[in-house]
Amino acid sequence: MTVEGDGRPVDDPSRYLLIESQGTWAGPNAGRFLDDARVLAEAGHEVRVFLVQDGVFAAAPGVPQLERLAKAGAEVWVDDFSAAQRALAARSLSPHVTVVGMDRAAELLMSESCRAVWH
Amino acid sequence: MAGTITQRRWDLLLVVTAAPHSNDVITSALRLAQSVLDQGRTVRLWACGYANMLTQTTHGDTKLINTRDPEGVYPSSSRVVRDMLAANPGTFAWIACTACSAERGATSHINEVRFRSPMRFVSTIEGADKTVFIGGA
Repeated sequence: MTVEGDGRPVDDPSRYLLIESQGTWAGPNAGRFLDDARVLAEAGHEVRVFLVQDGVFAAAPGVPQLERLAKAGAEVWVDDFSAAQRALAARSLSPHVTVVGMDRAAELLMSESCRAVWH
Repeated sequence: MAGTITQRRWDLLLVVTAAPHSNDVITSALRLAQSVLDQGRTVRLWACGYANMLTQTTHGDTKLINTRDPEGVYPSSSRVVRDMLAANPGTFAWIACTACSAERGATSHINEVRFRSPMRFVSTIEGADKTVFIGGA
């Protein structure tokens, strides 16, 4: 069963692709964006966060927003190209993330009923 | 009886408003466009603001010489866009905003780019099944 953040059932759970391209130091909005993803996941929606460009630094172990996202059931993907460009080896990333190619994000984006936001 | 005009539909519209050289956002946008094209979908890209500088003829085909690799050849953004359009005929399109281009004195786009007035921005969005804004509104 899916529920709203306040415990009410969600009538129409949606699929979200939330793309974070900014580093966690870029200002409070980056962290808020990830918290928005967590709220959606806690409300019962299907949420995947795709970290790209400097957003991949949020995949470092110990980032609190990421821990909360995983706990809420959201999947977190890390763009392989962006991570490689920043010398971030997969083994150095949080255990809560999956390194994927842009093709995975494209496939999800184009899937039926997927709503996407790029930040 | 008057005929009806059927607007062509596109699978994805990418509206790129981000400042193109502030980070690697254009690389990401083009990678996403290419991945969607590789899945047999159609993609349209609307260049907004300074993204209109990417397709200027003044760039030529190559970037300036890389002094650490003087023999290397690095395609310009104009060349990259032109090659993507040539490789995906009818499935990929690049739109230059007339107002953004004129405001910047950047109206010398490569021939493959289509001009479109911002007055048609909403209808362009309506013509796509999905729209993603990259860089904020």
